[in-house]
Amino acid sequence: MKALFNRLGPAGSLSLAIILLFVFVAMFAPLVSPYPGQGAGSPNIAAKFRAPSADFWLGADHLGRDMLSRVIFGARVSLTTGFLIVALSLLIGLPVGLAAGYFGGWVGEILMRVTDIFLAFPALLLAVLLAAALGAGMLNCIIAVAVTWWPWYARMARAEVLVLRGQPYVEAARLMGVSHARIIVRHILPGAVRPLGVQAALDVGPALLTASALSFLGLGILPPTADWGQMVNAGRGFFPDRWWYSTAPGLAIFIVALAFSVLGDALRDKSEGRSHADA
Amino acid sequence: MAEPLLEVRDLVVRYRKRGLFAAPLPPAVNGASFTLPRGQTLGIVGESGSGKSSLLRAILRLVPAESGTIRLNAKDWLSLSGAALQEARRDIGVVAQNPFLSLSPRLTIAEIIAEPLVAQAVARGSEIRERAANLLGQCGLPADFLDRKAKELSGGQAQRVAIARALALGPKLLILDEPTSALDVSVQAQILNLLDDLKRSLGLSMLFVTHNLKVVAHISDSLLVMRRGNVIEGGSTDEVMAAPKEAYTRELMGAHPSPVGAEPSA
Amino acid sequence: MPMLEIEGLSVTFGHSTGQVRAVREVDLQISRGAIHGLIGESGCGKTMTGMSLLGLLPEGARIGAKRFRFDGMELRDVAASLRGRRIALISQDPAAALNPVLSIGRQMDDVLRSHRSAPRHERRAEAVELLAATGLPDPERVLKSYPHQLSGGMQQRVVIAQALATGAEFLIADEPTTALDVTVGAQVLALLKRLVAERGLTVLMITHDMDVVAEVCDRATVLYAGLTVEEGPTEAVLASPRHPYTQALLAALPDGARKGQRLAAIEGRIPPPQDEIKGCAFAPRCPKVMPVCATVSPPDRQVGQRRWLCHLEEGTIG
Repeated sequence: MKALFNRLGPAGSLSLAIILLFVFVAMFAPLVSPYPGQGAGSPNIAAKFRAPSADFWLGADHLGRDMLSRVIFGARVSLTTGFLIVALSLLIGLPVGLAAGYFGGWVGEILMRVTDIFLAFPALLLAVLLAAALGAGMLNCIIAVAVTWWPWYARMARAEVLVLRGQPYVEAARLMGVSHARIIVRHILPGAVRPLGVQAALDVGPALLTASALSFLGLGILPPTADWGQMVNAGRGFFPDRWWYSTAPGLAIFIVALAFSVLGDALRDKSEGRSHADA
Repeated sequence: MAEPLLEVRDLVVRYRKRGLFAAPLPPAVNGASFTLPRGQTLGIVGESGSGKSSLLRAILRLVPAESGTIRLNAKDWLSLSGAALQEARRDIGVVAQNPFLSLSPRLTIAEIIAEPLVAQAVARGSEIRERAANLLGQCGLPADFLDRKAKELSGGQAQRVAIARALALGPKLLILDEPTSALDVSVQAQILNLLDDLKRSLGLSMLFVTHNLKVVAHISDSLLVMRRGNVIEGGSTDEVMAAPKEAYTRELMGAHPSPVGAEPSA
Repeated sequence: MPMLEIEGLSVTFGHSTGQVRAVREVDLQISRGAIHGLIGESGCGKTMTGMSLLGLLPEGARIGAKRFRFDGMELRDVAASLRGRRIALISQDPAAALNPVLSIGRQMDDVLRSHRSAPRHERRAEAVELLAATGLPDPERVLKSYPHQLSGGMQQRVVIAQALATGAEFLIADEPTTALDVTVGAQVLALLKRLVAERGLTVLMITHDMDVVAEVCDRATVLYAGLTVEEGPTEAVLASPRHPYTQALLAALPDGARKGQRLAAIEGRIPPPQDEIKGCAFAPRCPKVMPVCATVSPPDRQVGQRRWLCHLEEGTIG
């Protein structure tokens, strides 16, 4: 525990703690939220637009639902979306990058040109267009963002593979008749996983942010499911009189995105320091 | 006389030019020919740019030969491809210069030595570990090295592991690319002695490539001196060392610098 | 008075409990105008010794010495200020010593400018002269080149020219030919030898290569496990080594004349720097070891120009 703290530094450790807290709260949302029913979406009109108080710590929304419970249930959706976007992007980008880097030649050339085409579009615009075409909903939102996201992993994986492919131990494996598939799994993949893993961890925040943006535009998760971006949008019409409505989910987005960013920096510093020590 | 293990005839290696209108590059190896009888060691000496590495890489089929023939173990080596080539690779074991680069940093010694055995499916299960331990023993390391990683070893120990791996498939030819250049003098002596023992006990043939003429002369039956892609001198080690025909060979031998004031430009 | 006087130099890292002794006890005396070889295998402390003269030890290193003087000055106080003025380094990898994005002319001028205030055309003339002095053909063109356009041998000559540009009189050459081809390395050694003769330089030649020592060094010091074990005129040390380690090191060298015979490898390994040494450091690997070697530090024997540390009497050695 102390070793981990030393490695990540105070800011990184605090960020990790915040992320773990959000994950914990999201997992046990029905147990930790004060009004689980309202968090899941059932209205409570009597408490409509109640300001923050001892009963409703973060106030209540236009259907009288407790904002704290909504934000806690929203964490489930938002965090899941963020993780799934990164996971799906890795699932596409990593094999593409591995193949392009390892085999090179015209296979690599074609794969990377396709990747470049995706990168040529402004990411958010492409995601918005895709989400609009696919229709709203959590799955479509994840797909729309992942499509703009994977090319980064493909490029990164390819760059790592190009370095690893030239290593004498990889050449030695080839000379002993080890198959391509086995070389990739045994020698190339383990070397590429660490830098990509750091990048992926760092990306959960921005992915969540992008998904929230889609929801904010009404292209992502639909009510009554609680999602931070969609909640900010819903509260927009009542701002600034009912300021807590948009502020509570907005702050949640801000804190989580910031925590991932700081943690990513801490991880990156650590792995860079490590590679210097290796040299 | 029995057919030699390796026979190289008029081998030319030329790298592809860069760009459509670039002048074609001069050949990296310009018509090398030599034979390596079974059970013998051939030393190839040269400096950077001599073509010795390109010659090796062509023999290992890592770069294509432009022309010429290579016969290995009574097979037309350059015509093999696909599965036949992969299987024929068993006949060649390779040891590179720096063991810390040629051994995977993430695998244990057991996994490293097992790799060729698994790849060529010549051993399975518990037999693999037993074989790996035997190979290590042959190279002078105890079996408790099996669970270590390369970075925990000294340079000499790591090079022994690399040699053990090269021997795993029972090769007939051992190709050694500057195997002692990264090692200390006292360790170099250990490795050279080990190679000598292996040559005798296993009847191996070796191609020993290095820039150090004294090392290669110690271990080789015959010598090949390369310069700028050409084989400029060849013959039995005793002959070449006793009466080198080329001035360049003499320069490599003595490393006696030219007289003061008359240094040739670098 | 010798130019460099070192007695009992130690370089240590870490706390008193887990101390790492990179250098244990090195003695080194170099007189003006000499090329002095510092011989040893990896882990013997030869590079650390060189770095301590330059004041370039890693953070946390502690220097101890009975005597640590350069030209009569206490080196501990002045090493950093002499570096690049009176003492210069020629390292193994010339490509790393030169900045890849600046022209040679710019890099030569940077050195010259920081040492004297001469007008630009004079500095340029001096740069040309220095490059020519290192045997580089067409120095004008070299000035306009970038490091990657030069061969390794040419780069090393530029590094030497830079060392001359600082006006340094003492060069520390750390394996200056190891990264070069044999024939090119021989030329660089010849160049150093000539510069020493012409300009009265003094050189500490750090190397693992006995050929280099035989070629250029007047005297040689042999290090083992951070200790000076033998010192003397080069021919004497190489022809009739006194210390069993020096003997073993020379016997381990392959030699075309003894082709096919087994080499005398030194079994075992150097004691790791964190170990405390009792008795003689070489005792565990020494073919002539005696019971006394394991417990008592070997006496410092001095005969004529030579010195070595061994329990064996002179007559019984060799």
